Amino acid sequence: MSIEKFIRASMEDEEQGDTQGSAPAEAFTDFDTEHHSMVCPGCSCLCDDISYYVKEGQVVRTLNLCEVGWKRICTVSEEDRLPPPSPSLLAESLHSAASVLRSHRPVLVLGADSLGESAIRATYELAMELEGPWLPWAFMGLRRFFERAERFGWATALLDHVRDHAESVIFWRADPLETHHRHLSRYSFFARGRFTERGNLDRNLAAVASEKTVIEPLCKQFFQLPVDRDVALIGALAHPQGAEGFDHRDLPALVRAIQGSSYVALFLDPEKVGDETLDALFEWSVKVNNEGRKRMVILPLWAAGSNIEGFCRVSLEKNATPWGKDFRAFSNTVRSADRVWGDLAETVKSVLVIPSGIEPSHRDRLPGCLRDKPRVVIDPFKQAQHRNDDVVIPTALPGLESDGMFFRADGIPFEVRGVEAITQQGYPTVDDVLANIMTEAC
Amino acid sequence: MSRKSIYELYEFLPKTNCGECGMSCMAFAGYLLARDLRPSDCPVLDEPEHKENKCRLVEILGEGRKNELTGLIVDDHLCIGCGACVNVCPVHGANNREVALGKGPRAGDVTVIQIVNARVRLVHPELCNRAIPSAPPCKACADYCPTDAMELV
Repeated sequence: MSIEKFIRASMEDEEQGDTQGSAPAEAFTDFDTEHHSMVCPGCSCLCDDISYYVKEGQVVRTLNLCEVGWKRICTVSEEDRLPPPSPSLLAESLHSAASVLRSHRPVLVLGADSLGESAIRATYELAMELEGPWLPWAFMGLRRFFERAERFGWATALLDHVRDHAESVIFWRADPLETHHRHLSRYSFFARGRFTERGNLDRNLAAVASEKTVIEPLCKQFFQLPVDRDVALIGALAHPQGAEGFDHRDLPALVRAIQGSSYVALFLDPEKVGDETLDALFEWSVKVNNEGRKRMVILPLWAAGSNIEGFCRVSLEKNATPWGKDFRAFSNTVRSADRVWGDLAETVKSVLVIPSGIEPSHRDRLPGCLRDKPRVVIDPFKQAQHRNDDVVIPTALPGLESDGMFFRADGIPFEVRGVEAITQQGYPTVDDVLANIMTEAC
Repeated sequence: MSRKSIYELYEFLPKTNCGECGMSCMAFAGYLLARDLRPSDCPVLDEPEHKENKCRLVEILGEGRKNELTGLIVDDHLCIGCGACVNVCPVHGANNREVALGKGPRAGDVTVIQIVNARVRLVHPELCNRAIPSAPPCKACADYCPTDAMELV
């Protein structure tokens, strides 16, 4: 029985005798041990207030865990998970992987942004030895964002600081209720802070998106706009007196809210905004901060691996850039995503790919131009996209079945320990797999 | 809860306008929507051929899931475990500093609601302001639920 069915069955048993509504949590006493605490590796919020209860070696009840983290825990025993390899099969797979990568250099090492820090470092070392690029899935958005940060200057803040101070919160083409469910309640909107003691009542929430989003009902101002109207909106917000050619019913209210705020927090998904929008947002932030009367911080909200920040830190340390190790395929000219992937495909001879994300649609986003290359895949799950000649090595789930150092969206490190109750079924850790490939391939 | 329409409820009524409830079926649907009447108030729905429709109405209206003390109905299909309800609850804000700051309650904390297995659950309904006759009426959890998973009736 998969863990999700086990847990749902437990809940149904609990609720059968109760026609008055939800059963009290205390009524559930059918667990082996006391509660454990964990840091959830589901997204870059890295919620550290999660408790879980154990029965028969499985997690049967969690407290404070959102649906993103819940799905992560359920994937531990999901039916479409690849079985753990036997020692001989694992040795054979590692040998095949090393052989493929050694004989098809340069190798693109792609997608280490959901691993622990030590595994990320191992992927970097491997990429160096195999003479290829080393990139996260969101490398294009990362590069565009951090190039602007370097050019304009970047005012950022800890999430706890945003909770304590932010009076205006704007989500620009980012919806935390899609990707980081507890973001609003832990930091950006509902949480009460030192100078926002009434929580959401002390804050003005606004959002910009191409279509209606889950966050829309909570917003006081919501701008449903195509991407090419972003710059006009930013101009109207930054220069209200001179705003011409942009009209929206919520614009005056947002202008008033920003003017009345001493602290503005802007969250955006850099992969969903254009270059002009990024330029305009950073310029606006610089203008506001230079005026000295209020603070405006920009924080990225990546719909990417939960340790994208850890990847950036390792990359900064090794390359002096946070978006990975570029290969000669890149230049400073602005190019479309298809062209960038195409140039990469012309440069590399094979791919070591590490899918991130939980949903099947997110697990293999390899572009078509790279799919005919020999590839080694480190992936715990079965996928329709796996080909017969792929070398697929299933591993323990990082942060759930193995320990790792993860970094929250604002850079705070969290040591994420594996969930004690989840039985190790013989999966190798990503660190061990990479170390073995490194030994054999180099 | 997702916003129901009178027509959605009318679909599952007998649509005979027999008048045994004292009104037409459309009017009865209106009273159902306002929660002034319940599906069991329609005698025709008790007949075998309408049994399935009655069950469906009970499910849509959350009849079997309502907490009688607070009137809370939770739609598990819509709840995403975001914890907004736990945050905005005035009982928590007044009594638990950590919860007010955004953290979830600890395992031993006494709270009205908690997120259990990624879904909101009533833990101590007797502490809810709605269960205390002298307390000001409160609908904070349902008002701020971003997915309309909570309804207070």
